[in-house]
Amino acid sequence: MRHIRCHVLIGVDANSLLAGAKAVEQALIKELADKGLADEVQVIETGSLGPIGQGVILVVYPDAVAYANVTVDDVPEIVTEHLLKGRPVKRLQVPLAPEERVVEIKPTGLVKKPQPRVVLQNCGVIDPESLEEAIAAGDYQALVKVIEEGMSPKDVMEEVTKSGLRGRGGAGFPTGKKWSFTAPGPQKYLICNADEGEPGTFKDRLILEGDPHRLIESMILAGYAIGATKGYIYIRGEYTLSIARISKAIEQAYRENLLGDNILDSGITFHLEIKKGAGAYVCGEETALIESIEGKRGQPRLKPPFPAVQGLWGKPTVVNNVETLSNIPPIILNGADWYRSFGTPTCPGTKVYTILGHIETPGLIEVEMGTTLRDIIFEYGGGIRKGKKFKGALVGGAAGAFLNESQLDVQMDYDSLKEYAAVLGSGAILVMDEETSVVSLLHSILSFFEHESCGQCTPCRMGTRSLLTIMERIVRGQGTEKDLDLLLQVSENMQVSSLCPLGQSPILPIKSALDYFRDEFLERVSGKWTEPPLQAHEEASQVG
Amino acid sequence: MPKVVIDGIEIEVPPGTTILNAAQRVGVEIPVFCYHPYLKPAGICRMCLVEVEGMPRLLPACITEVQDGWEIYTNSDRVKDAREWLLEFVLVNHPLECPICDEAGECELQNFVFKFGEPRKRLYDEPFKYPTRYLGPLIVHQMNRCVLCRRCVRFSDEAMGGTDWGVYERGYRTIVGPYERDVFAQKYTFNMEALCPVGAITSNIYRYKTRIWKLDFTNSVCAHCEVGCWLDLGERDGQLLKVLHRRGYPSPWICDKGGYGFEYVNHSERITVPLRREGNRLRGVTTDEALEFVAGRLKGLVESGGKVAALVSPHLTCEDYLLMGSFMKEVVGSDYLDYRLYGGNTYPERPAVDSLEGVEKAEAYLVVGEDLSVHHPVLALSVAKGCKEGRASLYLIVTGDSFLFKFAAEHANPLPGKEEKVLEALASVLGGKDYASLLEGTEVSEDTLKAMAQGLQEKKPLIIGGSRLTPEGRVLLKGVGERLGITPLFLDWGSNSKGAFQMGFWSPGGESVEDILNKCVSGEIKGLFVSSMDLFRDYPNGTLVKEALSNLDFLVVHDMFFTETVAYSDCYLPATSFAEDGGTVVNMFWEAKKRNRAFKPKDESMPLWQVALGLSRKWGRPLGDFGTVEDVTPLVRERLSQVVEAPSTLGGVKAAHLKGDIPALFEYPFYRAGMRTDFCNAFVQLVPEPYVTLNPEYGDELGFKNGDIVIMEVDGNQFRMKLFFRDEVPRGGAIVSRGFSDFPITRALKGLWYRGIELRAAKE
Ligand SMILES: Cc1cc2nc3c(=O)[nH]c(=O)nc-3n(C[C@H](O)[C@H](O)[C@H](O)COP(=O)(O)O)c2cc1C
Ligand code: SF4
Ligand code: SF4
Ligand code: SF4
Ligand code: FES
Ligand code: FES
Repeated sequence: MRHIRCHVLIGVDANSLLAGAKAVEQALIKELADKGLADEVQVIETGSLGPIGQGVILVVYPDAVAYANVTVDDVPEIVTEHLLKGRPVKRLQVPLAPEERVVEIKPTGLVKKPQPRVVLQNCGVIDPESLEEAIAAGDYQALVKVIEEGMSPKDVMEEVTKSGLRGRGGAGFPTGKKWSFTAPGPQKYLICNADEGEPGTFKDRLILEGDPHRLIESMILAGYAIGATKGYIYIRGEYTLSIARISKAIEQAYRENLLGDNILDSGITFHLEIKKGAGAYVCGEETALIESIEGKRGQPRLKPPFPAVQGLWGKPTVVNNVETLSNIPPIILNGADWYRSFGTPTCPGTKVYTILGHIETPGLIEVEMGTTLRDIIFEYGGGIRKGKKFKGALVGGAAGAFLNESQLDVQMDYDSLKEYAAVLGSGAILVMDEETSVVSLLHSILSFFEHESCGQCTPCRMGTRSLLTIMERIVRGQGTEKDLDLLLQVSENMQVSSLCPLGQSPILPIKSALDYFRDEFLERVSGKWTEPPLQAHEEASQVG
Repeated sequence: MPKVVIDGIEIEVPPGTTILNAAQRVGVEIPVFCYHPYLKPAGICRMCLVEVEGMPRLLPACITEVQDGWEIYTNSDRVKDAREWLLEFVLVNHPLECPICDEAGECELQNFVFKFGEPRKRLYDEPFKYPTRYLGPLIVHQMNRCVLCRRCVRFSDEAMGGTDWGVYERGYRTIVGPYERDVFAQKYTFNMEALCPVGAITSNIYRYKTRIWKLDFTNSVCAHCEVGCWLDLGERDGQLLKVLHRRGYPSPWICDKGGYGFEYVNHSERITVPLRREGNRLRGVTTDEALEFVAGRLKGLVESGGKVAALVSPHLTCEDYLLMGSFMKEVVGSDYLDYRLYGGNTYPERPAVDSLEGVEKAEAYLVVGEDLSVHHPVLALSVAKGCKEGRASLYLIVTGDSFLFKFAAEHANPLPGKEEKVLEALASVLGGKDYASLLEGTEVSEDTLKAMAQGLQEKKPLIIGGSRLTPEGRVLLKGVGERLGITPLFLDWGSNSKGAFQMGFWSPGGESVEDILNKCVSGEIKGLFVSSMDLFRDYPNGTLVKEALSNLDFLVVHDMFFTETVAYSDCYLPATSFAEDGGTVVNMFWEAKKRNRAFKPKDESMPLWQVALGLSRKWGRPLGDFGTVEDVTPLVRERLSQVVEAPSTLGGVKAAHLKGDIPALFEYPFYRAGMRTDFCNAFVQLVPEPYVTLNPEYGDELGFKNGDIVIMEVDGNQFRMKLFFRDEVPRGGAIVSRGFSDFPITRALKGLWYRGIELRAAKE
């Protein structure tokens, strides 16, 4: 008889797969069988356990012991020492975050400080390929609540509006309000934006990989609220694991009538389909995304008409980010007031970040809105790697802005950042130590824009190109101080003239880089500058 | 109505007016690249940005609708700054080769730089180095000069329903153009060239010929078909070098026949002096001598009891028909004259709509018996428009349609010769009668027909009867029309059939061209006058033409070239081209329009009305005292206002034409249709020789391959041709091209454009 006394969670995401997670998992299963433990210890594949860059991570319950950088060779030791004899393997052990608020905070973060896990509640806890575990962990409870309590679409929309949830796709537009704009009509669409093209961002991927049923549930609820019976998940084509997991989850949901016609006999109908993107950054922009789903060239449409009025196939459409949507079930389940107990009055809730760069524990974290940048970097991220000094951070991806040391205490939320001409953007925080070259980083950002401009409108098509040619001059030490002004002028013109936000964005990194790190640029154009040290180049290219 | 102030000028405009249109009303110029009044707004070039008081960003004038109380500045410092940057962006990689660019002088980039640019350069980059693409004989594409306004792409998508002309790559590397093709000639290509604001798409025909400011432009009317598009003919030193379509009538678009089909006017083989037969030779003579000779011979024939007939192209002017008609009827005393030289035995009828706008308003269309894109190309665009926009549904009963099928809700594609059978079946469905048996052997399914009938009953269609319909077919279509409460719009061949008819240029006894040719064979008619048409090329019975012409005592041909018909003639009179004659033409909506002469006739060339006048003088019974064409026009106007009754033509054509293995439709390729297209070099390059086309599946079945050389056999005559596979050909049938003056394809025909043929592989 199987009597499970112990669970081993193995974090399987794109990063750990590269580090050999599958091999470790198989070795573990084999070793357990060899030692006769197969009926006592269960191995569970779960989503990301938080950090990246720490190889394969295992967490053993109920002992709450975490191991990082596990290889196949370590497996026999873990099985014999820990699982058989009950003695944790110290040399592989890493600290596990303590619990914080009981209901919504789970003890799986491998970072120093406890996190309020609203969105990532089940990520790294459940087996994302198991519907049973998802349900046991609370997925679909909000849906059941809506059905059982007879909540109308209007009730759902009102709850979301009251919660103050704002779009996590970058612009922070109030979600309830966006939903309420949809024009009435018999056919509407809901699209989940999982294109996640912003460099350095992978939060949506990890949410999808960790708890796909949460997203499905959220889309049913959102679809119900706006009156859409059909949804699409537009997912970045490179996200093969996410695609596999969400596909499997959709299959399971259809099988159990959690998707399809007359869901759970409630009269609610919702169908869900996956569309894969082909690797264009601009296809994350909602109207380009819609064009792409329609099978056309991915380029932004003119607004108005807004998608809420004329979107996919000309029908009213709502496009929401993965993270935005994943906030919906807890809001419905626990109520708007509960939700507002997190974050700030104007930006309630939590925010999922991917922190990376020269930091001790790069990876995925979820913290309250309004947490300071300092806390994020030094408390949650473990501070600067190798004891070096903090130089600055690029917040929000390529379309974000640089912040420097004097701004470390900025509260990270939509409104506070605005005062610094910065944005929350995609939730990517790229931390730079004192040795980083902002010039090289900006160069890499500008080549990104040049490469990703859709080419539709003149200022962006030619402006991104001009910015790059100017920047190339500067990087090579052949620029002049006038070139720095030119960067500003061109990007300013792009900001007023471009058709979509892509062309309007380069001003952000350019202006902030020049404002806060001007000396570095001046040195580069002084005429005395010589070949860059190789290292700076290498690091910059990791970002783009 | 919103009231706005533009650069200090106040104006009230209807709601929904864009800033650009409002500015145009008060005479304020805003530069634009991507905007075009007849394309959907794109808003991509950002050239038109303006400032609105209180708005944080500049707004694109071309797509932003004004709101009450707006103060708009088109010339503020911010706007100027943005414009300068945009022009600088556009120029940073531009090759700046205006001195060798054919667009120079009408280049919108050049103009804007002059007007709104600054002589300062802040950005430096390599000029583009894309290769020049010579896309066949019509256009040249130079990506280096492209400003990516995408007008060409949008025209291709919006008006043509998509072609192999698109946008590729992205960002700074974005390019436009064809993806697969090396030759781009798509019936409406001219518009893409015309829409291009810069020299990125230019005409290959006009390439390096002259500069635009050296041309004199004259308003005129296209002579290829009865849509009658207005053209602006650009002349220099008696050569017609360029055609523009500046006045957008009757449609903003024209077709390539109108835009590029004028090369015959300057053709080096044109014969511009009269010739007179002397034994086996034709000798150049003076006009006076020629007229004297012709009048004398005709008079002689008539006096000896012989009959004389006149067969005249349906591409001429009313003045031509009027005076030639008078000469024939009143002076010669002939009862045999006709203009329907493409064959067929119908006369024009009054239409149900009076303009292309009227056509575009319809909610549904039923088109029967013509590939509109070949013979009424711009009408096809108008029909396509509503269908493309989803406003209208299109139903086709057309064999081998090559364009409109893309837009059709239902397309019945009958085997050659079966269009009218399907039409009969449609009438039966609508009448609630049994129709299944009528569809037998047509290759059209009952489902198609049922769906078509249902669709036609749901929305009131515009019914268009094509030039292929026989008189019986027209009766059937009128029957369908009556059921649905609609008078059909019937189309005719040529560009002025309606005018010829109205001028009375037909036999009072109702004889057809076939009857007239038969009378030549029988010897009743001894003298024949042919004007501006090679009967061997266009009349669908080459054998009959040959017999008729061989049997004549006297043949006079008025034309521009030494055609096969001229080879049989006793006298050749040089004709003017449409650019040199001038006069009145009647379009498909029965509107009379003035065709203006762009330059004076070349050498001894004369329009037909002048020939008629000259002959009448030589005959001794002058038709009147006409000096210029304008003197004849009042008479034409008078005739146009009269009601003309057509003789009945039912029962005229009996067809047992389809014996043989494969029923075939003989149809003009687009670039061969129209007037004298086989003297338009570009068109000849595009379609150098006749070919036969089969549906790929059917071709496979018969064991042929695309590109094979085959022998087509009809009545023991063998024709060696290339075979191509085309999806639009109905399975089980063939489509054979015609319209070649140097290939006797009409010998395969017997008066209709259908024929049973046999096909086999040619032995090498
Ligand atoms: C160039 C560009 C790229 C974008 N990429 C993404 C993306 O990858 N994922 C995303 O959710 N939103 C992206 N957005 C924002 C979307 O346009 C849209 O605002 C968002 O999906 C709305 O979701 P929300 O209301 O839930 O934030 C992008 C916007 C722009 C201009
Ligand atoms: S701003 Fe850039 S990405 Fe956006 S439409 Fe213009 S060219 Fe395309
Ligand atoms: S080829 Fe001409 S019309 Fe086409 S995009 Fe370029 S500039 Fe515009
Ligand atoms: S051929 Fe007909 S459609 Fe084409 S330009 Fe001439 S008149 Fe217009
Ligand atoms: S003309 Fe307005 S954006 Fe091009
Ligand atoms: S003159 Fe403007 S592109 Fe040629």
